[in-house]
Amino acid sequence: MPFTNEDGQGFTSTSFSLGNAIMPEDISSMSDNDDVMRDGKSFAIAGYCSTAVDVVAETGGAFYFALRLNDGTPATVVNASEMGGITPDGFASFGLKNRIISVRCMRDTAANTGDADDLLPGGADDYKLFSPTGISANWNFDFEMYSGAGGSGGNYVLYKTFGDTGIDYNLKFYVDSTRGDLEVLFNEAGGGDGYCTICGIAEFGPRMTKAT
Amino acid sequence: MSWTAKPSGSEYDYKFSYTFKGCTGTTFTKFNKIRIMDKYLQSGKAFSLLGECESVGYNPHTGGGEFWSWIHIGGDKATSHSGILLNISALDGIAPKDFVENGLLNCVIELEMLHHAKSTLTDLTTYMPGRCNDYLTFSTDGTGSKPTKRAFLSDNGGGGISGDYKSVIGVGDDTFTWWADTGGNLIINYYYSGVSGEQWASVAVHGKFSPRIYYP
Repeated sequence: MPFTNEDGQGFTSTSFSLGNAIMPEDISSMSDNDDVMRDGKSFAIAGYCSTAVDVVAETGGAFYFALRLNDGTPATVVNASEMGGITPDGFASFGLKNRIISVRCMRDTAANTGDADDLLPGGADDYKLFSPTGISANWNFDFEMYSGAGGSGGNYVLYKTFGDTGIDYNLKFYVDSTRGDLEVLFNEAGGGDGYCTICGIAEFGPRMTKAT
Repeated sequence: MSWTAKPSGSEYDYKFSYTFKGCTGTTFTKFNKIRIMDKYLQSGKAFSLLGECESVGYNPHTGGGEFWSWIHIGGDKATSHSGILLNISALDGIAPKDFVENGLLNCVIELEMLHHAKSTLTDLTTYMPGRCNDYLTFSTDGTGSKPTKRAFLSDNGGGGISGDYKSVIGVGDDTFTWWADTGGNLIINYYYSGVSGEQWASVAVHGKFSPRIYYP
């Protein structure tokens, strides 16, 4: 049973189209949209920078964290290659290097892991991290830095001391120079608690470097 | 032109089935990308939600946002030097809806700032990103600092140094003033109270702005 049209034309002599075909590259354009949304949002407004600055036209972002820190052991606050949410395009490669970074958090020390974990969200004393009486207070860690090329030992760190009389603690936030992860190191200088619980937000801008 | 079937027995036979394919199939895997996009939109939008406002106010459903700037500004002492911190017509990112028309007008604006000042432009340039003293813009010892924060309502813009809709930060002899001009751009002014020579400042800013909130 051959098919012909009313003019007697068969398939061998007639081409027909239902419209422009949806090609794989058309569908792939959605991936471009993904990039736009990742780098866009309204979070991505690029502020004006001097001509001495090369600023990448990409978004910044914000991460919320809640961690128990052990004395002398670095912990990762932001893992650039294993993020569960939306990150700027290429974030896994560059991470938090060369960015303005704000870290705001509440911190408190504890003598053991159980007490420290109780201060984490969902723990028995979670509200006490934000104030001993359950009445909210100002952030007790609120600082800003430029991460540069990263590294824990140089000038591109947030390093602050705190503590009771005779006991010194310190927190140091820095960006790993290889992976671009945001790291934090808690240290107690002797006679104090060996654990520190932190909960807060780390915000970062687009990459900014020397104009070339 | 319609197609009809005429019985005569040829290569197309109703006893058999035939498959026609005009191009590579559009699979569900590809269409599922749309669902991923939805998630991006949902999570992205969460940064710019409009909070509850009085019902007498009119609140266009535009997004808010954040921005980062790093500029150098200055010149002759005892002279006001103005520059743009956010140029709404020359943005690299995606702006809220109608942003190029309204910019930062009628927004609640929060600013965080750190800065370092020097008496020559050459010295000051070393405090810009990627230069030898860039970290000193953020603290005197490279350990970070607490940024100075201010918030203001931009209203219809044009507040200027003497207007009511502005923020002012005074640090020693350095005074910084922010306002939105009538076009919705964010303006910064730097004034150093010295009497001669030059003074320049490296200024790193992290700003946030709300959706537009105003009475009709």
